[in-house]
Amino acid sequence: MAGYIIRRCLQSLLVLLAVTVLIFGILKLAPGNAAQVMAGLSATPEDLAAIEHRMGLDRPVHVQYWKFITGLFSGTLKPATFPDSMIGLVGRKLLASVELGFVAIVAAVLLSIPAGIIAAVYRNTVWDYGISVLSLAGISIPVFWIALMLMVIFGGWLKWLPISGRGDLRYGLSILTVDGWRHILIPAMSLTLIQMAMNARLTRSCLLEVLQLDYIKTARSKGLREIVVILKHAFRNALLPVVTNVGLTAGMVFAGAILTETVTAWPGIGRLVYQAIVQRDEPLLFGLTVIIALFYQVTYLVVDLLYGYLNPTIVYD
Amino acid sequence: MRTTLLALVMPGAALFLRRRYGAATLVASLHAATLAVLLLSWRMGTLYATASTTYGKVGLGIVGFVLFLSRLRGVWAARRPVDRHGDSYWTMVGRRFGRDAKSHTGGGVLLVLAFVALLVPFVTSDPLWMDFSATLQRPSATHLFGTDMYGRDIFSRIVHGSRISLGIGLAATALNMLLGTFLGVISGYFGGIADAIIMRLLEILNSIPFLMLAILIMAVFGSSTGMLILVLSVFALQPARIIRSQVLELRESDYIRAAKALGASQSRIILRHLLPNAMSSLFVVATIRLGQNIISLAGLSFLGLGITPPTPSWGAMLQEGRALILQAPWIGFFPGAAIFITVLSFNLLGDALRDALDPRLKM
Repeated sequence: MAGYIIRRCLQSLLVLLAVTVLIFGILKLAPGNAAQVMAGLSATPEDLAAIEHRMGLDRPVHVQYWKFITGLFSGTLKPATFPDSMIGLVGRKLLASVELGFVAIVAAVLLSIPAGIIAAVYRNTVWDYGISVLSLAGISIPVFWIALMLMVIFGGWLKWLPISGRGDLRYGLSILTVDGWRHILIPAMSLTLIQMAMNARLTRSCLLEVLQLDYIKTARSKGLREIVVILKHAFRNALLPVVTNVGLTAGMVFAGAILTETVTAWPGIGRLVYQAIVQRDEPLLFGLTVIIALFYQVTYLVVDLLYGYLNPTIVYD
Repeated sequence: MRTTLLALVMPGAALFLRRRYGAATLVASLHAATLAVLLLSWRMGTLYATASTTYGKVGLGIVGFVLFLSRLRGVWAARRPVDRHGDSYWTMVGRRFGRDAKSHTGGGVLLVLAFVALLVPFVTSDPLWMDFSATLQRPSATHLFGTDMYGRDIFSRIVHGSRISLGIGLAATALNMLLGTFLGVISGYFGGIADAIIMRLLEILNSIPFLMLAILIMAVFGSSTGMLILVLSVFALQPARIIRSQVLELRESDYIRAAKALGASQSRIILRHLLPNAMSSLFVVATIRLGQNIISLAGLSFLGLGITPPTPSWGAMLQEGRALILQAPWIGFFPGAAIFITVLSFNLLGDALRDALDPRLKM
């Protein structure tokens, strides 16, 4: 087990390295550079050269890459377009993203799993059709559109909720204040909808599959009540793929939901990624890439370990 | 006979009689929606296409006829038993697909959409024409979906945008599937070093959000149609993984071993034995990817990195509507609804296809 984890961590390190090379490569292959964006259109060639020199852009690519890597670990790599330090900025934004993702995922799990169970148990009834069609609709909705429509409905017409930002914070969190809750609802709802749809579909299909197995027949013929058969016997085994899916999407949402955060002006990692790319902030983008890839790798590892824990027939060695 | 007539007059009625209320409501509302779209476009035809009204009517007539035919086919299919002894696999698949309310809904809407996209010039006015005396008009009889801040007709822009969405979506998906199948087959069938390289590549792509990569590439290399297709197809390689697992499973099956024992060449095994059997999941993945690609394309355009204004595209229109979302919500509502309906139709079709091809397949 320990050996497996260590090997996985080493693999993740390699992937992380490859991801940074990929992103760095794209940045360097592109025509133009950050100095041109910074200098503006009216800059003379001398100005441009001076800025390039100051930013280190006139040096060979591998030297620049090495400087980014070492800078990241020694803390000297600073965002070009923000006054904060890398750790401070990314940490603050990460907190906002994780908070939003947490609310959305918890709501999605609480709503979708019962819905999936109902659809599977009452198969081919109005309930099943309704839930199936709704969840199909859920995965088809563009998240940026539903966020805008929620803003129109709850912010414009009903005037219940504010349409952007995070509101009052306590200890850097929105969910600890009433005003913060009012702000988090719209972005969380738009994220929840899609998660909910995916989980409900998955719960339904997995449960249907399990319900056909022999041990369910045994449980029924023992005279157990249907609710016990479903919740205690079938549901536990159907839960595995759902847990995997929730874990994976959670990791992705925690690492920033670019469109949702951009539309609702939620100051998280996703929005920061967009800003860093548009403003061509290469150091910031580099740092963000590392953080996000790290988040993804950790998520994959945790999900795999969780899977092994939930399904004892799987042994990692 | 009675059922056939009933279904023609009011689709879903027969289902109501059979007390299948859920399915009946679904079918009825779907057909009501297609009829509404048809009626609306008919009206637009007479209102806008002044110079080519006849063409417009002929074109919409064709749309109507095809819809009629598809409905007829559906009614016919519904009256036959699902699986009969001695049917081939594809016959059964066709019949199951034809009986599914989801395939009718999705297929019907997409059919209308495809025709509208093809017949665009005959159906609507110029999407770029600005009328500064009629800016920010609410939806009305003259401007069905209202006008934007330049007085451009939103309905016309959405209809024109359908060409871009469907065109780029189709091209990207085709390329994506081609590449995915190629990589998946190589990696699954040959294994070894090729497999290791391809899997590591997928792992790297899986470690950053696809949208982040897409935004970055579009931002630094500049947006163009070719670039969009490339980004949407090359950097989202989930199909390769699915094909790979399919191939891995098939590779060990008896008939592939038999083919090998008979001395069939590698290419023959792959092309004649492996691919046709992996086809069912390929189809399903393709329909679902199409929907995903349309959303990604709209997302990129929404961020200002996909199709750039003034070319009408759904994502860019949504972006234009965002600034005025509280004052003039219709600017943002309709393009988003168009994306939603299109993607939903593809997903419905994919779902029906999956159920018909292989009910055990999960995706």
